[in-house]
Amino acid sequence: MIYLIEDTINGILMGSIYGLTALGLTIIFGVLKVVNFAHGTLLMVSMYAAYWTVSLSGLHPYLALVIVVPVMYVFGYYLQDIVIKPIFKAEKDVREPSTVIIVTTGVWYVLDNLTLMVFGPQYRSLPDNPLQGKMIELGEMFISVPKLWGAITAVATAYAVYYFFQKTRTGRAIRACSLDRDAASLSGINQYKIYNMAFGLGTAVTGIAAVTLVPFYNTFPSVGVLFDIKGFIIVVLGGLGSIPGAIIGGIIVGIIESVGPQFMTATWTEAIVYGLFLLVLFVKPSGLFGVKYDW
Amino acid sequence: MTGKPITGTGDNNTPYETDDAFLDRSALARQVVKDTINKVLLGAVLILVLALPAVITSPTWLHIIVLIFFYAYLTTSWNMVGGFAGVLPLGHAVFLGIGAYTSTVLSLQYGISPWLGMFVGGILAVAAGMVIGLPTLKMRGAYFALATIAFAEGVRVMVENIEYLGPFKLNGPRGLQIPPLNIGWGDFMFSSKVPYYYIILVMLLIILFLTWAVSRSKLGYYLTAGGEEPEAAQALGVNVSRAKVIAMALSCFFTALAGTFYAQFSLFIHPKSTISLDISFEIAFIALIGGRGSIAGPVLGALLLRPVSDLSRIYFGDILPGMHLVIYGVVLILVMIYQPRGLQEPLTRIYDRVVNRMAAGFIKGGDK
Repeated sequence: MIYLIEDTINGILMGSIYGLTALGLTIIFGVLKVVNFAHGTLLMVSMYAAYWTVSLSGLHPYLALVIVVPVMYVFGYYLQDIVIKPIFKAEKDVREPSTVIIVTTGVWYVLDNLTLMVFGPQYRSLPDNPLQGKMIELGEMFISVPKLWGAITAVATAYAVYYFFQKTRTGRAIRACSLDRDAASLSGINQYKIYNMAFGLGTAVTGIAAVTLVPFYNTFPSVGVLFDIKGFIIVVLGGLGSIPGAIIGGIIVGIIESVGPQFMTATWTEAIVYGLFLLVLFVKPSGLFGVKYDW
Repeated sequence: MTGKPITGTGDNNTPYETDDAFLDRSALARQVVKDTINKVLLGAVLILVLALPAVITSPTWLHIIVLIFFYAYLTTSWNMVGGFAGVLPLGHAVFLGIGAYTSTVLSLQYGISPWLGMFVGGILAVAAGMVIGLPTLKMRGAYFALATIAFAEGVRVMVENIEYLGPFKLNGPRGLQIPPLNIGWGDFMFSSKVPYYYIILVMLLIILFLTWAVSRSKLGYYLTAGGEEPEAAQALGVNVSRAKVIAMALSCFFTALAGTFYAQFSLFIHPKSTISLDISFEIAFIALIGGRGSIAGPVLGALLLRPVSDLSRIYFGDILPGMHLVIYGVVLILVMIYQPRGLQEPLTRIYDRVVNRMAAGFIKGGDK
């Protein structure tokens, strides 16, 4: 029983981090109506950025936020501006441009394999960072400290993003764009600039996720693929475009992954997650918090 | 057509002679010449591919060419739903896997010829395709793509975890090895690559013919209409969902047949080599770069991309792993930005121009 509680707690913590990795995906979908297949790749790039920042400077891993977040914002901003915008302009009238999916897949392949060519297939970890392997003892339960920090960061980030969208002028402009592109343009909002900013924001949030991951997770060229498909599942579970949905979807997946092995072979939990995903898709495609109109 | 030269200057014996003043006879004549040129070129290509194994004797090269045809076939099957129906399936490898596993299990455990198992696999793939297709085909854009990915990955994880599915031995992640004991046509197993070459060539020709027939049928028009303007098509009484489901069934069936071919060609299948996301994506990439929704696109895409992949793996595999995928990605992005309808469009235009010029030349030659 105690193990079950321990696993559930660790599942919730890891799940919040999964939610954080998927948050950028849901932000980008919410505004651009595009499922960014390069999302895992952006996470991978962020993880490399965080890894090199920490291992070269020797700072506390979370201080890497100061560098990684702005760098990833700029990266995302210009990725959208240079690669994705031309296609958007060509497919203006389509609500969910499928060509963009393909282009982001192209970005995924290019960046993943460039990283493989440049940095090689090695798994990189930060062996002596202050969070490595730390545990909190709660009675007989062990709670992982880096995951706890990650979960706190995830919730804080989700709140910050939510606040930004609700209360700031730019946030409102982004929401206006996501509701109706044409009406927003008519009101004097530069829709392509908003798209760039939304993409940059999504990528920056992914950068935050990467910083929470590097203290305890290996960095390698195909790490993004793991989080890519998990991210799709999470955002559909929670509802594409919903910010709380991403975190809660992440927690659901995290709990299944961490409690599941108590009852079955660990590899089967993956199949259960896919099954749950398909079930949600068949029964309630808008997910837990999604807007019905979006599917 | 008779062999007699048709000129634009008015020969009363030509069967196209009419009193219709609006009929531009020189244009008609050019059309006839163009058709003839097209047919001659098609015939020449056919003869060339039929004679190819006599010229290319190196097994490595033959292997590469077989894989080109294999991917052209797979992509053409994908194209029925991914191209004409306008949705984006990204998990087609699962149907390949179903085909490969079905025929292999049947032949290993029950001694049933893979030729029969092929069709059993096809039917099972259609069933699986309906499970995923019926609820999701009516959804928009991304959801269908995500559902197909999740379905394929879910099935892969399951196959990796299952040693025995009821009485059927799947052997989990280790996969199934086909011992090359009975070599011959009945067992779909050969020691040389030449029979495989002809089998996949015939399969490719059949699926190309079928695609051509579908694109000209009512189903084809329904699909195009539904893919481009679903609401408008529906308003006109087109049952878009039904057309998509039929296209999906056809696509799954033919993809599964390729699975059996793959199993018999490589004689070893495992979950990661058949139901892999990489294959699913490669099929979609080839279709999109070649030109989705066109007949020539998939073949063109396979012809252009597969050699890149094989040759870069052979020559750069050690120094630059993943090189061919970078090339794929870059080509994909550039094609999507500059030629969103795929490379078949500019190439068809060039081909048309060449044929036009040739036709003009022939007609002028006839005038003299």
